[in-house]
Parts: sequence; C-alpha cells; structure tokens
Amino acid sequence: MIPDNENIIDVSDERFKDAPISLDGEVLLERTMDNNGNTSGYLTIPIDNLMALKGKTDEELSQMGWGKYKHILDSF
Amino acid sequence: MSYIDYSNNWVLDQFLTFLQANQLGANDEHLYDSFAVEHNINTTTVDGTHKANSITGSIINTTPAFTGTQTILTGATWTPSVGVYQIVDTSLITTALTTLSIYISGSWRSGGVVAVNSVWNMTGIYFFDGTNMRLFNNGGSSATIYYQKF
Repeated sequence: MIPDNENIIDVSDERFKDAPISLDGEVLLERTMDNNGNTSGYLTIPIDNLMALKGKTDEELSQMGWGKYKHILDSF
Repeated sequence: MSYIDYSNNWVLDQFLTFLQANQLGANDEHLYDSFAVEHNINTTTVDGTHKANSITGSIINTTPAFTGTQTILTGATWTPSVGVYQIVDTSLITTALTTLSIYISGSWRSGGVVAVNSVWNMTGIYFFDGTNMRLFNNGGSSATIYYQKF
C-alpha cells in the first residue's frame, strides 16, 4: 500500500502539473536546477525502492548519501 | 540597319521584360524549392517542421548550454530535462551502479546490472526527452554524475 504523502508525485495535482507523467506515483526528492534557475530535471525514487531503505540505521543512510533526505524517508 | 523603328524597340522591350520576368520567376522558384526542402513544405502538407534528415551532428552547438554535477542516491533516479548530454559517472563501480532507464509500455526498463569491476561506469553521449528517459542508480551508494548539456 502506498502511503499518503505530500512528496508523492500526483500529476493530477496542481503542484505537480509540470512533472513528467511517467513519474506519477514516485517520490519527489527534489527538482534540479540549471545555472539559470530553470528546472533541469527531477530526482525521484520509486516507492518500492524507498521502502526497501527502511530499517537502515542513520549512519548507514548517511553513508549512502541519504542524510539530506532522511526526513522524507521518515515520513513514510 | 539604317533606321530604328520605335515600334520594334517597343517589341524588344516587351521581349526583354518577358525574359527578365521569367528569370525572376525561376529565381523565386529556386528559392522556394530550397526553402520547401529545408522546411519540409509541399503543396499538400505545410506543417512548418524542420526537415528531420537535414539535421546533422555538425549543426549541434558544441558549446555546452550548461555543465553540472548530479548526485543520484542509492535506489533513486534522475530525469534530466530534454537535451543531448555528455555524461561521465565518476563513482566507484564497486559500490554505485548507474544505468540508463527508459519508459516503455507502462514500465521503466533499466539496463541490467553487471558484475562489479567488469565494465566502465556510465559514460558517453545520451539523449533525454525530459520524460521517458532517465538515469537509475541500482548500486549500494550514491553516484556522482558530471555532465555537459548541448
């Protein structure tokens, strides 16, 4: 079951109207920006991959680069 | 000729005008034909699109639109905006495994994971449409991607 979370891309939601439809249902970590401040891409993770990270220690997550996004992981 | 008849001159003028008009017309037709070929125009389909097979690699501006670096976390994906990218993945392949992933028939299809230390990391020229093409890190640590967008 996919939990209800504001980080899940829902292309029918006004907040995600510019997101590629193929990312529908994925967890948005952040939009990447180019030098001019335009959206240069989307950093996302499939929900199954994110749930697989649950159970790892904070230290393990930091080593994997997830320290910055731990609050998103914890919200699931 | 010992005389010049005005009426003959008038006829000659008309003839020259006819020739010039024909030449102008031919020039116009040539310009139009060139334009039509370049822009894929014909009398039945005027769509204004650029003729696809006229675009070659040499037309791509070799000065990058921008350069950057992108971290792709374990299990995560990065969907670049539309463009042609030159990419180098500097991550150690013993821990990070980044591959191309494309969306076909309702699912993401990713390159298979190969044995570590068997190939170079993901490098080369890639095209992204901003929607159905992305990078996927299927390894055990975050990957660092350097790229130039053209």
